[in-house]
Amino acid sequence: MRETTRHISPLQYAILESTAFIGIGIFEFPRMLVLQAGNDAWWGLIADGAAACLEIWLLLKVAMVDPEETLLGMARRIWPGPGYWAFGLIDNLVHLILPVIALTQFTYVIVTFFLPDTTPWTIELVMTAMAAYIAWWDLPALVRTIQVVYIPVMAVSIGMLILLIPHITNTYAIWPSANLRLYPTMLGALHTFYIFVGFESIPLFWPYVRRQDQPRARHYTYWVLALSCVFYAGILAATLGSENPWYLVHLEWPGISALRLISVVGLLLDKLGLLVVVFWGILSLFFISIRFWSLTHALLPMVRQRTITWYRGIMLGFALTVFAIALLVPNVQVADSWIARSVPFVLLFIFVYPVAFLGTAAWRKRHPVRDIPLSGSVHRIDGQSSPGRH
Amino acid sequence: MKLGQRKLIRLAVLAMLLLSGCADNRPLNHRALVLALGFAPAPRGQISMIFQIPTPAGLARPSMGGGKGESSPTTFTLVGTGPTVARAFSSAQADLNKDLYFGQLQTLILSTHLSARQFGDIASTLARWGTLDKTAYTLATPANVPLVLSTRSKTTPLAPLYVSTGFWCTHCPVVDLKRQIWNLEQAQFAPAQDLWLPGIQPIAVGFQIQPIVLYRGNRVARILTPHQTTLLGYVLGRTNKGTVDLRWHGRRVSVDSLRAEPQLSARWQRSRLYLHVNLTVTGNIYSFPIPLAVEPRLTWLDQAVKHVLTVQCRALLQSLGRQGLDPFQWGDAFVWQHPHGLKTWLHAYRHAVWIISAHVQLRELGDNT
Repeated sequence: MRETTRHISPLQYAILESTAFIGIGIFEFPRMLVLQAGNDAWWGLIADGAAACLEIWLLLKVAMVDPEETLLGMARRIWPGPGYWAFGLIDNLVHLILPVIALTQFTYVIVTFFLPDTTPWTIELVMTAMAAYIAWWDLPALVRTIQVVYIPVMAVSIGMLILLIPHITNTYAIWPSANLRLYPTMLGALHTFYIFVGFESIPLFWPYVRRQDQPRARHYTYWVLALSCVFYAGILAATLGSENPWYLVHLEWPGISALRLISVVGLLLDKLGLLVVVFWGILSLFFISIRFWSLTHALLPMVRQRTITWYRGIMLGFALTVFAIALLVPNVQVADSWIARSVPFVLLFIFVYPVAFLGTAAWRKRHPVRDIPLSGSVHRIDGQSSPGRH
Repeated sequence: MKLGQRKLIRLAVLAMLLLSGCADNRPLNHRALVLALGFAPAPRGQISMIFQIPTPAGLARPSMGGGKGESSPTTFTLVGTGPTVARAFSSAQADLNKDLYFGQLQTLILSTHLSARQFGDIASTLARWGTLDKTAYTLATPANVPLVLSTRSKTTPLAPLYVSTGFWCTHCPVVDLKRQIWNLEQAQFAPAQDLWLPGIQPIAVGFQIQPIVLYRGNRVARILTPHQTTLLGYVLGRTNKGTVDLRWHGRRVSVDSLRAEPQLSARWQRSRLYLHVNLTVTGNIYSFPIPLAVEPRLTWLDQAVKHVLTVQCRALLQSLGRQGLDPFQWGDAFVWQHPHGLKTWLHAYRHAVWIISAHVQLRELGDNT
């Protein structure tokens, strides 16, 4: 590897962590939330934020079991044998579903609004190739690429939300309901939790943060969640206010539909809002890149390989797999149904495994197995010695 | 492989990926940019789609008008007819060797004579048209749609340009009646809000955009008079330059530039709905016909304007209420907080008590006092 360092700074970690989830939910949010929870949508978002906070707490605990080892590396010692393989395969499946959803979502956004005559597979192929290209040089290069684009994209997105304020004509819809209905709220929260699916990558990223930076990174993780909640709250308010709630639930991508209203007379790009769609597309691209990286790093320890050649080979294999699965999605409704079906499964996985993992780790600490050390030297992807192993 | 060759290959791959966005790029001269789109009923329950498209000569001229002596037409009109919007569109597309493109649409004009089924089909199709610009201005007309599109005004030669330049300036017209395709689509799904659109009429010297056309569901329910439009404009906060004519001992006194900041609220009392409209009105008076001290005449004027506005607005709103027409968001706000309360609301709205109050503050201008 040619990177000067394989570590990432706490800020880079925070950007990576937020890109690991924001690219999948930004287009569809808040349709399912308003559809299911109605006027309790705000409570649903709060419930999702609280659940994500719990998830982060659990995953940080998992990461701290061995702060210099990635998830699958730790799992080999925590659940040796078939348990490890079962866990690895499920983890791989989770990471495989997410890029397929992101890829099809963004492809159909492009086809619907910009290129109605283009066949979806060409866009999917280009997106897959670019995502693989971004992930080609492993994590530090990936995160530096994201860092360059992420901050301007978020700044422009916030600017666009501000420009949307004059279009907020349904102010009544912004007020939260005073009569909380628990079942619809929880249903809406469940179907919208995908906006925070991505935090499960914490144990994968964690060893790349220097040991002395890890306390700061832990705080940043919670800040990422808090700022993301504020960002999503902004989208919820802007879409509810500019579209009415009954229209919103009929729109496939409410955020984009609202942004299309932004028009600046006299400016060369008068439909300024649509520019954000392109930027959000880049976030989707990064999301897919991170998933390719996560997939590969979940599999490499299982096959006991850690060279860059293996990394690239497996990553390309996964990219092709994701592309092939995406070809099976004939339209965006099918992609939606995939999200609806997979979210409960993903949710179950990311909440159940940390509890089981932490329980087993605690038990192993009391009953150590001699030949499987809880902390030990594992080599990095390029064969150099630690820190920052996979 | 040498380093230079590797870089070249990487650059080529990157260029291929980045340039792929141009894969289905269509040159401008392969596209027919629709400036205005009209919908009108056709014989045997069919729908006519009327497209106003600039010619290449028109595209080259920024004003699109062509001056005196310019012979080449700047636009042409294409009509497609079919039992549904999709079929009407296909019929028009078949007559043209260019791709009909709605990304630059400026104006949508709907005939008030469209049936509920036709209107529903139009709204539903527009909502699904991804490349359609949802910010295009939307109007209704009782007149012949092709006639509206072919009418020239004094200031601008084309209806869509007249409409868009008129709506850009929100404070210029008497009542700001700007509505977009977006508003039409929103109203389609709102449970209790009725759509309203500005009406457009060709007149001898151009257009008149004044009366509000009110819809219930997908049908035109009422077309307001220009005066009623101004009154409703006060309550909607859209009137910029209202006028009230008063009489002082048989002499005419005119108050101009009236505008109102409305505050709307609803209250339930013993199962009865009370709708409060509080208007904060400002306006100008340029001259008073007889000499009178400033203070008493302004007090008299404030009171007189307040009386006229409250009486006339109440009469209009009560009549709209009795018809069950809600161009505001009262009903939507209620149903949002009470998801099963639509029936309750509709019944209560028809029998609501309207309480209109106004606070008027006039300024005396002019140099002949």
